Amino acid sequence: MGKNDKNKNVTQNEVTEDVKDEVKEEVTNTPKGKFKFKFTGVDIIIIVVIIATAAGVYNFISTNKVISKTKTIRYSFELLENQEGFTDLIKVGDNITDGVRNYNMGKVVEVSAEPYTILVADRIKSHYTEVALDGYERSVVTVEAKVTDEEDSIKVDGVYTIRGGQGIAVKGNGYSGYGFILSVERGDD
Amino acid sequence: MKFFDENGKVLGRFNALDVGVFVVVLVLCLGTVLKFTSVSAGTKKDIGVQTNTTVTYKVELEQVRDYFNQNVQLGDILYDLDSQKPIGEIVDIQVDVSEIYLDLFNGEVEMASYDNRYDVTLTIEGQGVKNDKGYFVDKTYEILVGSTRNFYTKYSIFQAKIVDLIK
Repeated sequence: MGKNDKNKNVTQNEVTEDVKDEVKEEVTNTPKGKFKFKFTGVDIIIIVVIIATAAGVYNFISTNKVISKTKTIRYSFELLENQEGFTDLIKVGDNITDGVRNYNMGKVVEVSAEPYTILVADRIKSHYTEVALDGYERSVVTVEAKVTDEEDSIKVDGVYTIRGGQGIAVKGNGYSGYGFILSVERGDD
Repeated sequence: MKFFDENGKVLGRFNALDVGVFVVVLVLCLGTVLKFTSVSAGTKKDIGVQTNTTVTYKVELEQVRDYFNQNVQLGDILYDLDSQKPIGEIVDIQVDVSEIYLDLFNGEVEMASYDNRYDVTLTIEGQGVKNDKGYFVDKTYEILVGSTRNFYTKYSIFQAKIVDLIK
């Protein structure tokens, strides 16, 4: 590269820098070398919206703050419309899981077989009578589980909500069934 | 003065995009205020004078088994399943044997009772408002007699019908 070429490059660079400075001066409207931060109306609105949103989120989280405690409770459920002998498959000590999402539901501490009944209209005595279905049984299972006790719910392992009357699908060691939660031990509220 | 000048500014001062952002934020703010402060869709003219009051209403469950009675107690808080908000406290529980009309073999129709099935009436008391449009618990939960809703308490979940509103 010759001396003249070098001088030409320097001149081009200087010219480019000068143009950049001029453009910057025009855009920011500030003297060369000084940066002035200027709030626009939109900046203020955006800041206000962000602060309001943050305050709203904080308020929502703080008012819904749940003080929960962990404890062990027992609850019972029934499995319906099972063939005779099904209940023998359920053993004390079995771990029961939710058949839909595989959540832990607790450990079996008690199990019994009861007649599976349906209501039948007695049109002579004017009464609806529970009649046991031959060949079928109902399994009543009591489970012990570690739960979180919150203001409005009881959750096994903090995730699986249990309430009386709730429909359930469960699975254990080689068996599954459906039914309802019958009762949930209250313990100390 | 033109609305848009030759530089594309609104009224010669504001950037069009800025005005757009401002309008969107304003609409969002108004929507939020209306959503969380109004009782229901409607103007103040519609709802008239609004007074804070204790709203007492009854919900009825039909043909439940005795397990239900183990799971519900006086003092339990009732929640709406959809919004998951508290809508009152259970202050009374009435349990009756379920009955329904049944046509008998002799051609007569009689009230027939059930084995192990009960009709349960819960009386609920909550803080709410009364205005020209009706009664609302927690500002937004409208008490409509005849409507069937999904409820829950800490220990129980059920569907029930609102059967009475005690004014």
